[in-house]
Amino acid sequence: MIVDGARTPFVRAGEDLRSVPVDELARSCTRGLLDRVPFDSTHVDELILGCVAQPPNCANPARAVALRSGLDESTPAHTVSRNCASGMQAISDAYDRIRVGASDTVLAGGAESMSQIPILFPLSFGFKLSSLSRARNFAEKLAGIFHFKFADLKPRIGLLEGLRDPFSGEMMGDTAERLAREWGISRADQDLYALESHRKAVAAEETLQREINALAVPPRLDRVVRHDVGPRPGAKLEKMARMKPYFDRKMGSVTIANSCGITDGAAMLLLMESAQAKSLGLKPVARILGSAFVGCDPLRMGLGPVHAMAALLKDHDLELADIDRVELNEAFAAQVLACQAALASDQYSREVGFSKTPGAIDSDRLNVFGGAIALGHPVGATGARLILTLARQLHAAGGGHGIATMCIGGGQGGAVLIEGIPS
Amino acid sequence: MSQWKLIRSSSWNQAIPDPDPTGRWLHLIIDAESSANVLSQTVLEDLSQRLDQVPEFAGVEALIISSAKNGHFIAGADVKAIGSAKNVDQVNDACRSAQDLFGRLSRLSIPSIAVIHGTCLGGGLELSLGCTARIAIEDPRTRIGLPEVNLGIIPGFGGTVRMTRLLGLRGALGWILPASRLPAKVAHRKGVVDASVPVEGFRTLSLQLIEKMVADRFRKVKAQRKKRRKGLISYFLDQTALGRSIVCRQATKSVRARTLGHMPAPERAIEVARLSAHLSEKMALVEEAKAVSRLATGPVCRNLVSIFQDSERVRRGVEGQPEGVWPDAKQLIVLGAGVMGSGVATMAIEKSISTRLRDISEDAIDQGLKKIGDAVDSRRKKRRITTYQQAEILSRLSHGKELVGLERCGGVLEAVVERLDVKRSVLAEIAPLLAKDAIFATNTSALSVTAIQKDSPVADRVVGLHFFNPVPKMPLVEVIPGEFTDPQVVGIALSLARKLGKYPVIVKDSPGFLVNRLLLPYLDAASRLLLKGLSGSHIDEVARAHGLPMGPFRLMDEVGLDIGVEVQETLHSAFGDRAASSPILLKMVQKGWLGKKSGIGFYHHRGKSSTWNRQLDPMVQASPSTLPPAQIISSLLDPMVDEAARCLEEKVVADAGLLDLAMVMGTGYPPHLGGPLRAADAEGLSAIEKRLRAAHESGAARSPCNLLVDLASRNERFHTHS
Repeated sequence: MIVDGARTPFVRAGEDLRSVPVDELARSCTRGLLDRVPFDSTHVDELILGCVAQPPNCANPARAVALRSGLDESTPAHTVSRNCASGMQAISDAYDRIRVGASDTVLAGGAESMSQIPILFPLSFGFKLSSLSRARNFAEKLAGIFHFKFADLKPRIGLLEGLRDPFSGEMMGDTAERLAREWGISRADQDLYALESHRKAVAAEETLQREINALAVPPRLDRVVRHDVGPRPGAKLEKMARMKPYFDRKMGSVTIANSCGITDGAAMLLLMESAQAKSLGLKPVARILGSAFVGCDPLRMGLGPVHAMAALLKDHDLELADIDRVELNEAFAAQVLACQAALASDQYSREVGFSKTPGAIDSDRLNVFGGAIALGHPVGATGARLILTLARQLHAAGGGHGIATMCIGGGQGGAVLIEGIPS
Repeated sequence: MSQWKLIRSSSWNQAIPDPDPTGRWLHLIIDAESSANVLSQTVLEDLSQRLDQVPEFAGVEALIISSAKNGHFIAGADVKAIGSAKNVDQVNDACRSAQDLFGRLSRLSIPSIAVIHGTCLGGGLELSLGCTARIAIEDPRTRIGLPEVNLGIIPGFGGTVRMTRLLGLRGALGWILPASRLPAKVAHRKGVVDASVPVEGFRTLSLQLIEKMVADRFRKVKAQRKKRRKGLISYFLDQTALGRSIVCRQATKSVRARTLGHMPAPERAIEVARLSAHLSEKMALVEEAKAVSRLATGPVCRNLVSIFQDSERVRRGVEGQPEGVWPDAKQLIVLGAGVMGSGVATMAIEKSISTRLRDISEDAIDQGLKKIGDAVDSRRKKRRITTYQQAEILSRLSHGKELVGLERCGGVLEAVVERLDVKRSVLAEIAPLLAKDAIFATNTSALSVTAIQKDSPVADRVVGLHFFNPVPKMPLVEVIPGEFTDPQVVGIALSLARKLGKYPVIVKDSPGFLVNRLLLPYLDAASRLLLKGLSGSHIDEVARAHGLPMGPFRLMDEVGLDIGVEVQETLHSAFGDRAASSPILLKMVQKGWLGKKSGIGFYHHRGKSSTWNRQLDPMVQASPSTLPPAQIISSLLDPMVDEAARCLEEKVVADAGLLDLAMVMGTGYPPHLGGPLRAADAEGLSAIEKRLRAAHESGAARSPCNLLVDLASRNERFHTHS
């Protein structure tokens, strides 16, 4: 059972939340969630946090979140990573823990501060530093100092390296470019899709705002961040069309405007075994039915959702047509449109395991409140946000089935099936 | 039962070690009959007897002094005895014999080492200073210091002299004058203790250290002490007459700036420390005892001790008060993010209470959060807390417009605008959501708690908690039970106030409660003097010189004139003419002169500077005149004494001691005067009564109340026991 959830505002990296560490992002919305749900937080059995770039000064940020949000010292907490789907993984794990009876109440979600991904020195710098520290006399020390080259000081941008596929060395954007070429997705279609994402998010601002728990920026608390900054009410197609492709400057079509933003944020959900929720008198918004994670070609990681949905629907004997709402993460407009094309393709859908061609998802079922192109994609947090948004919209719609699905860097797809509980 | 145990042992694993007749160590363990280890006369006598026995143990290598009480070493001398000291010679003798007793610790045939675990204050530290060496245990409960000057005396069991000989003049004054209580590591860094040891397994670790110290005959310890005082500057300031006089002049100057010459103790401490830097120890100790005996029998010490005893009484719980415990696991919800609300929230998160700040306006929340953030950050800047502690403190805070989290809440503190209808509607909103055993505290300065709680379904859980502005600085909280308040709720409120580090005083639900009711006649008297043509800034200066933290007009500017008028009107309607509001205040408020917050009141406020508001002069019809300072003070304070007597008559507060304490803690009434009633007692009530009567005959509305007249006629005092 998903009792409720809360998230921080999603703010472009380098802006208002840049000084907020990832554990504070998650703590803030966890505390907001605990305040919001009328129950005694000593019932929480464990906390699971999805986080990709775990800060070097805070190994296992989940534990910091648990302690700082006032949970009992005896409440265990661990951090999980499945790249872009880390937040989804945390919830899927929590679901499994509850299902096997290991826990009754779990706080699960994800957090990412992409502003605070460190900048690194090359390893050669570290090696030379350690041999210098072993130098025994002045001559050895001097020699050690002269070993350093300027190249040893060349910074490595952690954020960029994180967005690179570790097997092929391609940037995530390059894989989106490949999908655009293969599936014949035009620049104009991508821009149009991105515009639509903004339009939907702006229209749904009020609904989305209810997910948000305002965050006061420590240590001075002199700024309170209350709103998402991603959605642009004034987004214009002409302006988008003028942007230069970012990844493939000559031939490409993927621009910053039709990709997801680099963002800071966190989202947490409170999951409970249904008898427990009942005995505490809580009114859950949705029920998790299952999850699936499937591997695919790393160079075409964007098609992951198609693979994952196929497996998930097969597990539950459902057709895509039975699903009322789909939240498909918008890593790139090209990638979403490629998924749509793949779903409509007889050959591809058969290859991934659909028994009959499901066809593209209509736009009134897909990402109805906009997606990561408008809101941004704090990698560890997005999976949890998708499920939170989906659960609340099904709850408001009075029930029905929904799937939250996302592509995962390194070539995987993840999907979670939930059922809304009417209020 | 003996209060000290003398045990020979070969090991040290528990508070009272197993005896071993052939052991290397002799343990001298204090376990006084009282709950705290206090160096009372009998404890000192017993110590003397034990020290006589030490030579009987042949073959032991060291005397180890420790406490059998967990996390508590020695709290100091007997405060009661200090407060009731009357005879100079008696005090002198007592000090001389204690000095000698502690001196014997270092003259034994074996070295003595104090192992300090827990509170080690005043006499406790003086005893340790008599030892050959000191080891402090790094427990958060370990606090080492010489707080004597706070009680109007100086360390008199040899502490002033031995501290100066150990640390030099500058170092010793650095301990004695601020009267601070420092943790083990800091004490080690500053050289008062020779080592600090982690708390886990501290007995074994200390024994290892002692073994090493004994083996090298304290050479390392002595070298360490010497090293701390090396250097040319150190030599000049501590070892030369010129250097010492510079140090003392500087110290005296900064003390005077703080005390305005009202406190004799710090100045005596400087003198004695200076003497001990060049006299022989023996002669210096004589001087020390002389100084203490004069101070201890003086009025300032008596007053400070009385206030201290009352504050301890309040901190521990006044007898007969309801008891209750604030639930630590629950959160506090503060409604209203204004100055008071954010102030209380700051205190709460700093004292480990999980807190939610709620306001109906986002702007107010932003402002409140900023205040909290700045307050906590300034503590980090002063290095009172680390950045980790700062993050931990802030993580206890949540905020928002939504009224949520009430299920996990032990209490709601309401600090919304001071209007009965608003407060009642807030209570009505909360009432159905309030958890079963949670309290609803209302922070009001003038409204009746009974009126707020009346007809509410949770009336029994409503209690008034009147904090003073600025909340983090003012130690007083008035706890006001309304007519329908459950005594247990009062108990929880007291416990919450104590948890917030405050001194709660129970006050009857009557207009103005206690502190504001007493302040108002004083402020009113000030504005009447102004209307008679006296200079306002002069009145303020005179009040300051008398020891008040700020003059009446500055105080009104600080509080806000509009609030002053509001309180005045409440009191006027309740108490009639004697509380009639002064016309000038009303005129000023009509002009929009509200004090500091509007930039203009009795003073013009620009940034940090302020000058007297000359535009006020035309409002005063009378021609300029002056009065001698003593007369100004008596016209300011006499009405306050009368009103205080009325409060006692009406049982607004349980006793005179609590009333004095409340005025000291809530308004900064000079503690060396012991509070308004003690000051009146000292002056003589008949003089005050006569002046008030004369004032009444010449037109003042106030006439001395029955209690005052009665006491004056029988030549009695408010404080019967002192």
